[in-house]
Amino acid sequence: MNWPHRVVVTGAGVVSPLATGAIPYWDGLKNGRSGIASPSAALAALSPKQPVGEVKDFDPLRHFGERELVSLDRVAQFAVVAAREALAQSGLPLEGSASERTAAIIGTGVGGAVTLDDAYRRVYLDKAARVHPLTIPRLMPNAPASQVSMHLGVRGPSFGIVSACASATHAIGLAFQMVRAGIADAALAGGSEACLTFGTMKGWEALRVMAPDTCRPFSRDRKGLVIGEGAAVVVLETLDGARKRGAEILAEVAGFGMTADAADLTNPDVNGMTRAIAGCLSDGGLNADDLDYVNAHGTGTFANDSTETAALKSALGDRARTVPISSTKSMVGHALGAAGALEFVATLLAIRDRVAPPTIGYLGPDPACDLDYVPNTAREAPIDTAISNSFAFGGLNAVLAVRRFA
Amino acid sequence: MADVTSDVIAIIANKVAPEKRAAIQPGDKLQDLGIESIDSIEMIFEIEEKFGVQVPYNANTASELSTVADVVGAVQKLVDDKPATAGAAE
Repeated sequence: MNWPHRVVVTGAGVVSPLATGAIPYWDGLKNGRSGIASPSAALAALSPKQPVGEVKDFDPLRHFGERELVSLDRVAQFAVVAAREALAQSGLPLEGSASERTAAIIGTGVGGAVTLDDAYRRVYLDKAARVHPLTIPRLMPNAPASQVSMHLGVRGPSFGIVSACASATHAIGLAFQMVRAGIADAALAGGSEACLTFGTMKGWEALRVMAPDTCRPFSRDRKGLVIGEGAAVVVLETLDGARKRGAEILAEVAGFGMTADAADLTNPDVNGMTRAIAGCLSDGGLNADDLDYVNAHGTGTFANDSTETAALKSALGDRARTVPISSTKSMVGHALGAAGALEFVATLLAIRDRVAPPTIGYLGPDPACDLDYVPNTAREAPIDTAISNSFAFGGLNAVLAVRRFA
Repeated sequence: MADVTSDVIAIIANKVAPEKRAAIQPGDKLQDLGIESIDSIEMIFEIEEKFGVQVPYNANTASELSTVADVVGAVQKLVDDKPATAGAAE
């Protein structure tokens, strides 16, 4: 199909358990560093034995005034900080009518979990008569999108996207489609999550999917996922716009595919995943042989990793057996609604540096996961084109393709 | 009954830009101090917490609380009218 615009990425921002800042985050991934650890003193309510991907070096007062923080849940703080970094890197002008032609689309899985948890604790446990007056605007799942719009002055289409672990990939995908079609000239898109709260973690415990040790995607003896937090936001814009203002182009968004399983609520579905990958390639006019790297969803659960492996074989054919595939969740945990954006940024930088980040914690092959997962150590590879997979609870699948801009 | 003035002014001051805090006068209009709707509901919240009272305030209706003195007076009345046992659970 002939779209009016090619879409490029000109900025990226990250808040992650490894670091705040896209480049230090990427350095951590490239060096196989783990941001997964026991909860810090700030999360004393959590089980000390439960490993988490916690953002530990984040001081809100370094980024916001005291009065501003009254209206900002941690999830919105992360989103705004990542968006500011992305905007600063891109140099995208937001004066006057440009701001009205720019979108802000930010996904989240849970929304303002810290605010919700605090409010519930106050009324149920402390028997307080009232909760903080900004409880509702802080916890609403569109707060990250709204706060990015307000703090940066983005006045075009803006909304939150909620599709659990695929939220950020859907957000970037939607932004890509809007810019490609000429609906917006530019977009800040990504995802944010901050749900390492007592209540949320009880919910995850009850699902019986959390690893007691660490996240070991695709590995034998993997024991499940590790919940993480963080945010990533990218600036997308038309190629023409980026060229006109001489912006540095980090990569081109090549395609986007999304599907629904219409099957099980929590079990992954090989057919839905396969169609999303194939749909993304088809959207970008790509063949399986064009792919040089796959940033997998790779949660570390028994079901996801074997099903994703089968889907990659089904969608990519023989190429699945040779293409480097890795799960960066092994280093930052599963940041749910932020995961797709964190992984999209990893994919961009994998292309920039021609380095496939590793899957760390890998103990050896599982018979159901028999592909090349770049175990434990990053690898130089001629990466020009890559995909990033996100597969959500509720059977919602989203896949983005990125390629080196040339 | 205890005088609530200094406590109420401290709560209001917390919503005001730091450089204006020390100079707050009873006759100052809340609006002139830069107190917006969100600051007002937060102020009411903190007053209710502090004094164990219920302030009959609805953001949808015009407020009679225009100046700092209006707020102090309203809170003083609520505190004075409070039954001796009320608020014990606060």
